[in-house]
Amino acid sequence: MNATETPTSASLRLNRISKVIKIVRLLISSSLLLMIFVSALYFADLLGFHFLPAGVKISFSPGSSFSTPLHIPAAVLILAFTRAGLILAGALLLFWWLDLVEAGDFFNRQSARYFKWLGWLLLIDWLTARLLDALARVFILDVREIVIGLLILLIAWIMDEGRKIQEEQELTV
Amino acid sequence: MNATTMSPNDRFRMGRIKKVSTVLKTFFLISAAIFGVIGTFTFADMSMSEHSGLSFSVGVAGVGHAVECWFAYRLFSCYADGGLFSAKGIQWMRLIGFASLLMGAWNICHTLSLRLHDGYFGHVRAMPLMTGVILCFDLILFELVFNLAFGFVIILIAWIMDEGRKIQEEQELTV
Repeated sequence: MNATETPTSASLRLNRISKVIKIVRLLISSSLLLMIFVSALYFADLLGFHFLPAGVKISFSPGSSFSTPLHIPAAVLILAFTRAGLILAGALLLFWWLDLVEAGDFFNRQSARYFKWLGWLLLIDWLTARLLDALARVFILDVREIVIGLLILLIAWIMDEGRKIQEEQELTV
Repeated sequence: MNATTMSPNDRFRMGRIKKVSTVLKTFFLISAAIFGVIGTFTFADMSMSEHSGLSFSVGVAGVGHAVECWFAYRLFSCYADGGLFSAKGIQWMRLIGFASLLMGAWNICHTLSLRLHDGYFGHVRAMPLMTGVILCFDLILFELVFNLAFGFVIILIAWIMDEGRKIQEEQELTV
């Protein structure tokens, strides 16, 4: 879709999408910056620089919580960093997808690929959270994230197949 | 998409989508029925139970999940009928997002009421001001992000897909 060839109504829609995308980008970026700042404070506490007062709690999963001054086992730290990495990767994927949408590419191969990755990230994050719970000897049956991850994977697959059919139909015409 | 004008390759793809969607719509219909029964029985049991608060929250969660599964059933029914980028399909996707958002809001209220009753805020008040502020901020931010983010993302995806569909339709009409 080329913005110069689109009619006025389409340009209006693209402008509206662009505005909403800017707001979403701002929300995601500010949440990420806040997360990085707070994580840095906790990380400093872990290294022995106590900026945070004693008793402040950090939660890596519903069952896995620690209070300052922090003494966190290595396995929990690795899984916690994995979760942080997954959140950052998810935000990056959303940014890339929003770039495509802003350019007017709604149903292309790349967006389906981003959705698939997003679905996989959610599934891996769910698994990591359950491993953290297991390390804390807590069992929580929280299936929401895995269901949404599977749903996104399926929708991405169906969108991709639909796009292929449309492309082939356009070629045959 | 018309099946009569499709190439054998396309027909194979469409058949595969329809098969998977039919399996999924059956799965979500059964899940909706199970969650609905659990929710209804828990509500019915509420008046007799000693733990009426717990029964109420389980009942709300059961009915909420039943509604989410029902919307997912309608979405995959749409896909099974061949409406891959149809307005109806997108509408059901948006409703899944709204249901997820409502469930998230309910989870936040539930957690805050639990914290109010288990003396968490009393414990926070007894701490130094800075610690108390961080603990409250952490609780609210964690709850907001983990309960509402999924719903918002689904609504955003559905809205953008809908706008894309409308632009494509308009472009096809203007050509």
